[in-house]
Amino acid sequence: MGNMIVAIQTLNGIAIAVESPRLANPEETPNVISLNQYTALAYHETLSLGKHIFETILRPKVDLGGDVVSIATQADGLFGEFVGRNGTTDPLGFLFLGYTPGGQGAMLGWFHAGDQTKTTRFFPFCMSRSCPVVGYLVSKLYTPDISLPKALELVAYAMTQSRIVLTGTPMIEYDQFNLAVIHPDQGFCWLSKEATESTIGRNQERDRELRIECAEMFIEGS
Amino acid sequence: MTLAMALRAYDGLVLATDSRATGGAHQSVDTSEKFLQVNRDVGVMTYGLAVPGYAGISRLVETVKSKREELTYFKPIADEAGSIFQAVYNEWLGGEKQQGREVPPDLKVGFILGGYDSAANQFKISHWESPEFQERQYPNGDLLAAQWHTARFLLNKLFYPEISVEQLSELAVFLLVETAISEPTVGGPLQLATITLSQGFQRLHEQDVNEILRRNQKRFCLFRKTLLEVFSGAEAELPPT
Repeated sequence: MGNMIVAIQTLNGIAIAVESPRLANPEETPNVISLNQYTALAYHETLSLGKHIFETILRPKVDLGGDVVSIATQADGLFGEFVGRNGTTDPLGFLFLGYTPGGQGAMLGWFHAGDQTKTTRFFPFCMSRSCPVVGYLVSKLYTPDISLPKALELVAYAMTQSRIVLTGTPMIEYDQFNLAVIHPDQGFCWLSKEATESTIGRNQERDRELRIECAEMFIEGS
Repeated sequence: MTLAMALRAYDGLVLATDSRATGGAHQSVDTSEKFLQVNRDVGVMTYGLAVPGYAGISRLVETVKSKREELTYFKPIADEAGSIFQAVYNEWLGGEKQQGREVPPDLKVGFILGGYDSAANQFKISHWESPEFQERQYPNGDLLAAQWHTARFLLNKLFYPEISVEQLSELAVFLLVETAISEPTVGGPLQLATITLSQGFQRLHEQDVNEILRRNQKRFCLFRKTLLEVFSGAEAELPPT
């Protein structure tokens, strides 16, 4: 089973929202992994196979101490080799998040499904594996000068709304929903449970406000 | 793909779709005819694969015309529709195979029948999709098909059960335009029809749709402004340094 991930790049870091059991079970390996202080990897399609590839191919064969572009470039060839050798048709998705040698934030994705492979490519400012609602909200709310804290609230809102649309579930359970950042100074870090819950609470209030403000939009003469 | 919707107001139904047909990477045309009137009270709509889609809705209309006595009410029309859609799809699939063309399993065709069932005194919506063509009915809710996600998000915010067919037509246009913003496979001239007890199936003319688009301009602005306003103070707490 795949899971949802949304990442937005800002001028002062990368905001990440991910469906992951990290808070529910700290012993379980989350599918967003810090590779070094400034680089993280998310695998987000067939999770067991993604984890297997990470453990048996990426970790032993790639220099994980480098920058995001160098890691993603090395991984690209190894992923292709693995798929070719095993005839894998299960969907696979890997997203590398981090900083280039020039200090710019970068997001690079590699995908495979059926017999098609999309080799590593850059995502300009937003990457989502989940639902078109994310793209819609980002098109409305993203600005190039968006701050990291605001981008975090946006990825959290976009992911929550996508989840509601896709499953009808009114709320993502707190213990399955995680936020993380890659900050230019602090590097990769998860938000605490309290900070995550507080973001979700603010977004619920924001959603209520949106409904109230738009309640009369289609009344005649409005 | 496309966005196809059968929406339910307190006084009737609204059927709405765009007119974009896509055929491979970066190729699209905006002339696809995606719905037809079946009889006074019933309309049919298609999405997905354009060729079997149009063939399916056309054959249903011809069949209903040729069997007026038997196919008057919604239920017998729906029963006939399922087998027509399946047969048309199988014929098309056979033709593709004969010409050595593989049809990827994710390419689907779907059909939506909406109308007033005077036998049951209810507005009804039914849905079929390849390859099973199992009829699904939506006795109370609405149906959004194909590229439906953004429209569902907006409907969750903007729909209210007391909405009238007239207002719902304006909401349907709003959903189509907003979806087209972020979904390149949705676009082109909008096709709309309403079904009410008093008027039956009424297709909206191009000038009516244009008038709705004009009235919706301030709504597009208002929605964007409201979204920006509710997010203006957004400041998540970052992990402490």
